[in-house]
Amino acid sequence: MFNHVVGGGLWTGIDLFVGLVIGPILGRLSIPARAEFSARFMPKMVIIMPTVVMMTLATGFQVARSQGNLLASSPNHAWLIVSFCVVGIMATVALGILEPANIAVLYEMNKPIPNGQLIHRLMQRFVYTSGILGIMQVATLIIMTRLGSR
Amino acid sequence: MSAHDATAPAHEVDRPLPPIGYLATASLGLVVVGGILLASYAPRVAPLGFATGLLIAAAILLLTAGALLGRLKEFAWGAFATVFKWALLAYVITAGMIEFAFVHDHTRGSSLVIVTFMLVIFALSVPTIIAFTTARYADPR
Repeated sequence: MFNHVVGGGLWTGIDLFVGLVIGPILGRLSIPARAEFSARFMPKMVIIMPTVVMMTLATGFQVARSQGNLLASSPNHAWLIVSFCVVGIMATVALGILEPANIAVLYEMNKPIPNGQLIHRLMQRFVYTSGILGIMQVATLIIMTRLGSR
Repeated sequence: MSAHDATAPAHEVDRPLPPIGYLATASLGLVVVGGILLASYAPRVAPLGFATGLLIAAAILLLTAGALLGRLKEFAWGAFATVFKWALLAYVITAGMIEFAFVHDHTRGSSLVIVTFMLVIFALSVPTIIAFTTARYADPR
């Protein structure tokens, strides 16, 4: 339970910090400065985020199992399935759209002369995907609060 | 005008290519739905017919993406290979951890076989999407 709560807190906290604090700062920097920051920041995030997400999901499943919430007779079962769906949408959006765009931007920025328009176009994906992920994060918080309070 | 040119409009480096990214993403989406289905029935056995259908559909989409990818002529294969191999390493480890969790939770028999194949598709589709997205904007020369 401790690992699930800590993992979930870190996941949401890092997501919001990067999206609301780091992102806007990065957007105002010059392309060389952005490239230098991203070249050092992204490799660490590529290690940290999947580890935190995996820890949260794996421990969450074990918590649900040990508390009997996975049983169809449990009053929390429906909420749990909704949380699976929310995580599924987040995973598909993050792995299928956001992460490829992140790595493509990083790759473009590491070129001797990066293409600013291409980077801008790829970065526009963040606007749409961040909105979807933000809504899903709020949905997760609501579901987990509901599960925790029953 | 080369892809390295800072003044090159984005559409000039965004060459028209087959929908490989969309197919691989759809494949990923189907295995995610299959995973949710199997997990939502745990510890009972999920209806394996529907899960198998999802698995087959996901495999067909991924194979189609692979076939379309193999037919590309003007493509930055060097960039694709560099990104694909590292992403594959990362996602094989991730898939292995998920497999361990299912085995640890006593998933056995046909369910485990379906989960394993779904994880194989997961471990191949994500690196394909990442490497294709990166390579499509890279200089093919």
